[in-house]
Amino acid sequence: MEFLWQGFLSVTWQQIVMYVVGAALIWLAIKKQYEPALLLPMGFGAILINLPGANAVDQMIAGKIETNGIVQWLYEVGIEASEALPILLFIGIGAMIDFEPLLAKPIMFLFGAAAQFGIFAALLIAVLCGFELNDAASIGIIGAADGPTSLLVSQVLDSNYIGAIAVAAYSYMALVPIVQPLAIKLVTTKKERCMKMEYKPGSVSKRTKILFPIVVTIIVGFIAPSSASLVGFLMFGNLIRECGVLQNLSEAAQGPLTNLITLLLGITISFSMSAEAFVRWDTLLVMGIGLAAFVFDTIGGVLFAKFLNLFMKKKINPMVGAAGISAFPMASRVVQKMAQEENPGNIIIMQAAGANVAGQISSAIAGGLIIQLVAQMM
Amino acid sequence: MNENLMNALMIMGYGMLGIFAAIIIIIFCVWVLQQIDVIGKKRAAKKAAKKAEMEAASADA
Repeated sequence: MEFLWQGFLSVTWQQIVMYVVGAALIWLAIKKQYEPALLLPMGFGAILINLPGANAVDQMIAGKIETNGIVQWLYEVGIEASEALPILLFIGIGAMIDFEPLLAKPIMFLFGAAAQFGIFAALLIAVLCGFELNDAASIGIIGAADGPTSLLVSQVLDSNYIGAIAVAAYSYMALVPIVQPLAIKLVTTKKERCMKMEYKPGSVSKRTKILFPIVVTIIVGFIAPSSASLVGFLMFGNLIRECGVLQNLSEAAQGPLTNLITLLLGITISFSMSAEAFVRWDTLLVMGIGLAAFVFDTIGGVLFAKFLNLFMKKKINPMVGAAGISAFPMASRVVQKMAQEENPGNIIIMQAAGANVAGQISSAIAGGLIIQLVAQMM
Repeated sequence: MNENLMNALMIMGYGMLGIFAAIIIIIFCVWVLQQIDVIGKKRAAKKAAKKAEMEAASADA
């Protein structure tokens, strides 16, 4: 009869902590609706894989029979072997993005670049906290505000904190509406936040929309080859959307493909949330530095907009710089909401959306550059 | 630690430089694409004007 209570007796306090973490993620997903498509599967997976002897991961039963776990298999095939799941998700994201506001006002690209500052600031903080360079870079990439990029970089750099990084990347993306307004108010005056911007929608030809993803893929491939797969799949999705002859594929990428990968991605990531890897003080530190990365991203974007205003005739509302992070479309919505609150009738959503989609491209470039630079220095 | 710190600073410098370099080249390419559109539009307008002129001339004749 011993086998009936063997599971209860062999549970460790670390595993109990993971049940609480899992329950908290599920609560955040359902009650607060923070990234429910990812946090809910991750939360459930955190409970599932930490059940003592659960065959969701590879196990040896009674030291004799070896079983292969489905979650571990998904992780090894879908993430560890080729980063297939995060990269394939980028096809769907690319098919969802309309680059027209950005192509109509290409200067917005610069804010996408500036708002990656948090990645490097967080990397520096992580090194100062004593993390190894590969771990520090993986923690820094939380500032990309881009779950798939964070997963890819931490996986390639063989970080010991993949679970914490995934949780931080996805939960902070959901917390953008709370984190960004505080950071923006820290570095702007009310007068700056009230600033109105004229929007003249320039027409963007179909030829430009089709050539854009191809050109970006080639440029990024030359400058940051480690980003080529991420940016390439993002742009491939966008090309399917814009070419006008693959409507069915575009809809499949935006709907079923994205939903299916998201469904599997959450529970697959939970493999990295085993009690022994997750329950340690470092995890709290990783979460803290990740939060700092988001704050520095926002500050970097806003300060860069202020810097540009020194030279520009038509001033830019500095809050647009904060929309340069990759969290799409949340960051641009937050900026528009703040502009509306500060000055009713102030509409800057199109400029913010331009900066926001530029952030998508820039964060993927940043991920590739980090991999290249860290690999050279390790 | 010191070596790691120096490496982190170098990654910061080269990383931001790399991102801005890529973005500036992309902006330049978008500008070229836009200029090609403008030239194309001008040519199309010129062609249309010429066609209209010829049609008017043939109608007069």
